[in-house]
Amino acid sequence: MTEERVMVALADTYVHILRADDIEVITKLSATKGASSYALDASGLTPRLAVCTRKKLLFFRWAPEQGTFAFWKELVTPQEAKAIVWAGDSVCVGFRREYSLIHVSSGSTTELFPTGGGEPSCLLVPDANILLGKEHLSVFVGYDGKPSRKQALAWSELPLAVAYSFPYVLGLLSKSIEVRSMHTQNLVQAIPLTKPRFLTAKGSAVYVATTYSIFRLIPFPLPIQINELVEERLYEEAICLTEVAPGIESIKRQEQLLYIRMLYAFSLFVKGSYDAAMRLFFQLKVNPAQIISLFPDLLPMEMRLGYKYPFNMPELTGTQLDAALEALVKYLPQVRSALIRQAQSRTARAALLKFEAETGEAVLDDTLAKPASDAASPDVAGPSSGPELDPAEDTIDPSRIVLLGTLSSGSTIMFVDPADPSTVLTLFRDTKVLRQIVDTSLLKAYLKVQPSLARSLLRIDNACHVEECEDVLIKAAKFEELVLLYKSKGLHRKSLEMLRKLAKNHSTGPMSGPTPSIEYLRDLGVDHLDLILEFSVWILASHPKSALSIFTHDNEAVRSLPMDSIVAHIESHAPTVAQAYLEYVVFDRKSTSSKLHNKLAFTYLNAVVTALKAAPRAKSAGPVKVANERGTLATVRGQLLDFLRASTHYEPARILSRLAQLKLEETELYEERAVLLAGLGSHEEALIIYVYGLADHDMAVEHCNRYYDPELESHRDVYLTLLKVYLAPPETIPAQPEPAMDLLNAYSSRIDIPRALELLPPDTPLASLLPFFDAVLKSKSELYRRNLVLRNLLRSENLLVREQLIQERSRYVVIEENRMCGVCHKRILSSQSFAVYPNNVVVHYRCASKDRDVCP
Amino acid sequence: MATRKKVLLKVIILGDSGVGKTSLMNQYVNSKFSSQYKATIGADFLTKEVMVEDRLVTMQIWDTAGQERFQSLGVAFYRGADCCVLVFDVNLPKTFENLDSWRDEFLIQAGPRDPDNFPFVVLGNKIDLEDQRRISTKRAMTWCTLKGNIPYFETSAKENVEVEQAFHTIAKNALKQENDVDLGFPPPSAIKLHDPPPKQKKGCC
Repeated sequence: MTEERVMVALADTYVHILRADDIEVITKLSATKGASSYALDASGLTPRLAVCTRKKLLFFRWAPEQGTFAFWKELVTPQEAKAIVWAGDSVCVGFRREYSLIHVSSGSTTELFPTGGGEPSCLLVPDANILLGKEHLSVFVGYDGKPSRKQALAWSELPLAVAYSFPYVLGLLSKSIEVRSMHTQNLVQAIPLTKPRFLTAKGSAVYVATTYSIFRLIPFPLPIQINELVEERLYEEAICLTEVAPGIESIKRQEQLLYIRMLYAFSLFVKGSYDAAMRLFFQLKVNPAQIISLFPDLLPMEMRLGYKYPFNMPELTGTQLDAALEALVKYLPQVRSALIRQAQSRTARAALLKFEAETGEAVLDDTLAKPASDAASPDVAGPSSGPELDPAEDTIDPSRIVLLGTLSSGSTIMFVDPADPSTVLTLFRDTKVLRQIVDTSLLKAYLKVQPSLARSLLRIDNACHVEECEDVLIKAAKFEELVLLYKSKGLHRKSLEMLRKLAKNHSTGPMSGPTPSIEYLRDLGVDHLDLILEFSVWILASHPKSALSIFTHDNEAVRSLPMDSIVAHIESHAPTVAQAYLEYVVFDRKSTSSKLHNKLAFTYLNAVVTALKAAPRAKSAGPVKVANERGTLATVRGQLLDFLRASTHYEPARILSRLAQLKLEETELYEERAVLLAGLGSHEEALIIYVYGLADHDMAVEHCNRYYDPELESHRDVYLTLLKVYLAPPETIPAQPEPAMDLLNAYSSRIDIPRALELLPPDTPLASLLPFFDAVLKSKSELYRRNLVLRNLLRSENLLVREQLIQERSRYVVIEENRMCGVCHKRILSSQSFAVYPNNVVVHYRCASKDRDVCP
Repeated sequence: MATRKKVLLKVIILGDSGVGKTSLMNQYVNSKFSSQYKATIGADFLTKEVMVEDRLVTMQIWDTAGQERFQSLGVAFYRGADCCVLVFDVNLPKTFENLDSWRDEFLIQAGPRDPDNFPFVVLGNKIDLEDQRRISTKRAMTWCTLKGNIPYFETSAKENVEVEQAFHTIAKNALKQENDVDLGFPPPSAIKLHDPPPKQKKGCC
């Protein structure tokens, strides 16, 4: 114990306390008779001592005033304890058969595991770990008694003794001492020895006793060890040592770690562990261009030559190249998203941490970085191993590591030639260029190992270099991908030209025929209208029906196209499908453009004319109703008539004048004319056609039914008009009083009576008008009675309201001197206005709540 | 079956902002629905244990923010996914037209072994708003067929329509993917180390 300047020793089955200066015995702890081992813990404020005797554990505490240990407690053990160490508030005890953890103050015992036959051994190591011997293994156990590492340290044979000297665990074997790294557990050194007996370590020095001699082993300063490890390419060990080595400035340590890790990453690549190498490259933020340069054919030669590597990097070929490319296509997307990433969302990170905690699987980037707190543990803080020479300063050559311009995710580091770094540096200062290199290389790599993902990359927002990729894709005859490339770069003309060429040159395959072009064109939208018009011409000419979907597909782009330009375009290049497009415009898109409605009407009309020419009527046939048509004429006239009736957006006058130009028989298309005339408001002419041209009274009445609307001036008198047509026909045609009477009787309510009576010829027999007058009188008196009832109802309602008013007016409240406001509980003065709620609560007017019906 | 070990399936839900990814997950895992919209920030996951073909599997469903496409999430989210669920809103054509991008981004980031056969499932959500519907079943089915017969479900997280069925299929397909990967045998007769030597005529003249 340094502070107390005393030593504790076990001799002659007693524990002795000695003065450190002259090694004189101060006391012999007489209670410790038969002691076989002891454990001293001087780390706390009060040093503690635990001693094993045959059947007991004895505990002592330092008593400074007496300058010795004073007895504290004893615990009885079932068998003799062979080894003991302190573990926090407990002691870990090795019995012959098993290890136990014994809590000192409560005495409760937890059995850990059997010793496995060998002598039990307990050794304290840093980070609250105990190493317990079990056959040829040393198991790491925490102070809670639970194994703290998955893997136990395995010696070549059963060790006689183990000792800890930062940062190594030493094992004394029958013919040698094995030195193993505490962190990686790898064998670092084996020192041959004959007949070794004991092993112990204090600070950095290790003492070994053989039968005849005692050795002191002193470790090389850590920086030298690190250098040697790096030279021997034992990078994992070197990284561990660098992480824990004391006395290195934090920045220097980081730089050195970076350097060794970089070497490690490249060495992994050389060994063919491509995935591991790439993971490390990503963590170290190595310039991706330098990694890409390791592959043949990905970067242009002049770019590849700019890089220097720590080793002779192999030229990748064959299966090795494939394996490396597989790793590359996993690495580059990571770089890609890191470059795109603006700022890593905090919660995204939190979710990942949750995932790590729940699954124990490391997904975050900093998997290799161990907490640097190892180095700060008190065991190693001693001045004993202070290196005088620090070669760490020489291991990192700042000129070989150049920090590139800051990327959004951090900085990129690359190896460059110190003689002339300018060329490469200026190239990548811009992350845009880096993105371009990454995406272009990713595409090339995909083409080699995962061709189907090439399309995915080209479809999304990418930074592929056009000419480079174009070159590769053309060489590989990947036209589908080439089109996607052009599309993603907005080079639509190039795409479309190629698609047209491919469609003509290929008779089969995915790029043959007009479909690829059609699918391409319908995604372009109004911004590229000129291209759509230009490149739809050949498709409209060769595949008019399929071409229509360029203009009718159901997506935003197609909906943005101006429909009248498209109509003109289709009319001039594929008139056969113009009607289909117009129908789409009118019926599907519900266009209200009268121009387009007129066009559709003309189209239907033309179809009728064509059909008429194909099947000319006999001269004497007279007018034919649509319902009586047969064959094509039935269809086309039906279409025309339905459209004329349904649409309200065409201009009837224009259609009529077109009809006039056609110089058809006067009796031809009577029904259509009637609809058009009605559209113009000439119901009289329309009805004349029904009554006299077609001699169909039902149709005439139907017409009235369709158009009658008491709200519209033009349609209000349509029945009256029909009556007029019957009773006062144009000259040379005899009047038809009978249907007129029927109409009057059937629709009396929709006809203006005085005007109708005026129209009646004077010789009309009154008897025939009897039903008419009957109906008129009945309906008039009905109206009169209904109004009477309404009037009386309203009057009684009026009386009710008046009564209520009188009641409300007669209601009063008394405001006396002690009448308080219900809200502020102050008196209501006569000068103040007040409010009364329905339940007679009175408040100040200003205190009243907004809702006048709810008492506060 | 020799392996009866516990299976963990990683399922990722992708789609535009506001299509109902979080609602679908909540309806399936917690049987809850809230019509209040709250944008997911970053990502989160819920787990649910389900029986799939007599096997107990733990589904770990990752819900992502639709607003920022992948940028803030990074590869770690997508690696090791067993199934990817693409969600769109049947009432918003844009969300359907973006499915392609979501699928492509996922494939690139996740880098599955066999991108052409990776299990996706497409969900057309919000069918409860039938009168506003813009994407027909036929149109959605056509896209799914084109992309390699992706199973398609029309769901309503609000009224719990088809949610259970959809996720059952998701679990089933994810499990299939997991099993396929477990095998990990190289294709037979990929490399012949010992080609039978051509028989030589032994002349004896």
